[in-house]
Amino acid sequence: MTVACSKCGSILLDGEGGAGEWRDCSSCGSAIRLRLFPAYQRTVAPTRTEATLQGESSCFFHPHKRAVVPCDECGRFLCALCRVEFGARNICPGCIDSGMKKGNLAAVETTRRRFDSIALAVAALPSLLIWPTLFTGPVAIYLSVQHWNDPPGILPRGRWRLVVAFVIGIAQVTAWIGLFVYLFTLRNQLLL
Amino acid sequence: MTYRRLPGKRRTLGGYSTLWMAEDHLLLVKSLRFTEQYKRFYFRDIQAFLIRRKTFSDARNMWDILFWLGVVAIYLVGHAQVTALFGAALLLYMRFSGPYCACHIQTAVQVEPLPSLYRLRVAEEVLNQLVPLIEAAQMEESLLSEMPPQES
Repeated sequence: MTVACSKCGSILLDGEGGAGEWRDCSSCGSAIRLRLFPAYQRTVAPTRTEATLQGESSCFFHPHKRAVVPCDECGRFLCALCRVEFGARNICPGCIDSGMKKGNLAAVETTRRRFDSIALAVAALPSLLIWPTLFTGPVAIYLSVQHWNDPPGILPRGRWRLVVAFVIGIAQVTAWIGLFVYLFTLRNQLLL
Repeated sequence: MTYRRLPGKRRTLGGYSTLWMAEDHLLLVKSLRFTEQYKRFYFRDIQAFLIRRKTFSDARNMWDILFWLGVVAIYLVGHAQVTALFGAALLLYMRFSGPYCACHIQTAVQVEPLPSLYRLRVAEEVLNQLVPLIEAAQMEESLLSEMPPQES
């Protein structure tokens, strides 16, 4: 593995240097500060699995391989090949797969839809044209209520967007009901 | 797991990008307004941190400045001095808030840009915060790998 200039792609160094000092790329002349870490020099040994001996526990997925850790989610025994480390936790491929599908395993979450932002946008943006709020007001209320108990994301984030969307939605619906009631009574007065 | 936000935020038309730090990894968040995408870089896997100072000729840098120069010129011609003043103030801010840079992080299998670190001052501040943590994590990792296996 080498380190390449992020502008021209030419190789900056192939194993030495990189203490964080500024240098010029020999190809494009860009000023570059490169900081290397010990992992750059580390060679990763291939994962070795051992065959099960009599009396030893075996891997859930590979019955002939020796188990080294249990899965921290489901408790299945795992060999060195099936063990996936997330910080201090060991998780099996099955739990990673189901965690990604259900969205309940924060360590593997790669995408999250922000329904609070959607609710706020649905509540606020149509207000510029006024008439779409007849439809979007109830939708904003529905989204706010529906997603109030959504599991919190991995990043700290308050619920104020849902609250604001709900309040705007209620205000819009109330205003439309008031308008219709007013028009209805006005119509009745004119007919009389 | 608790995250702490690191300095720097890159706004674009479609969203923004920020960098967060947990106890054992960095989290790159790309927000597209209604969705967020996450990429994790574990301290033990980070091989290199690359900061490239940008010059005026770098496209983004140049277009930013030309855009605001254009704003100033158009409004001066149109006798809209207040708007021209606003454009000029932004130009001055861009000039005096330090040089631009492009920041990349490298692991064994990827080289990923960090869009939120686009100011040299911010990038260096973040790098100074991260270096001791990454080195400590990798030192611990190498100590663990050197330990002889325990007899049971």
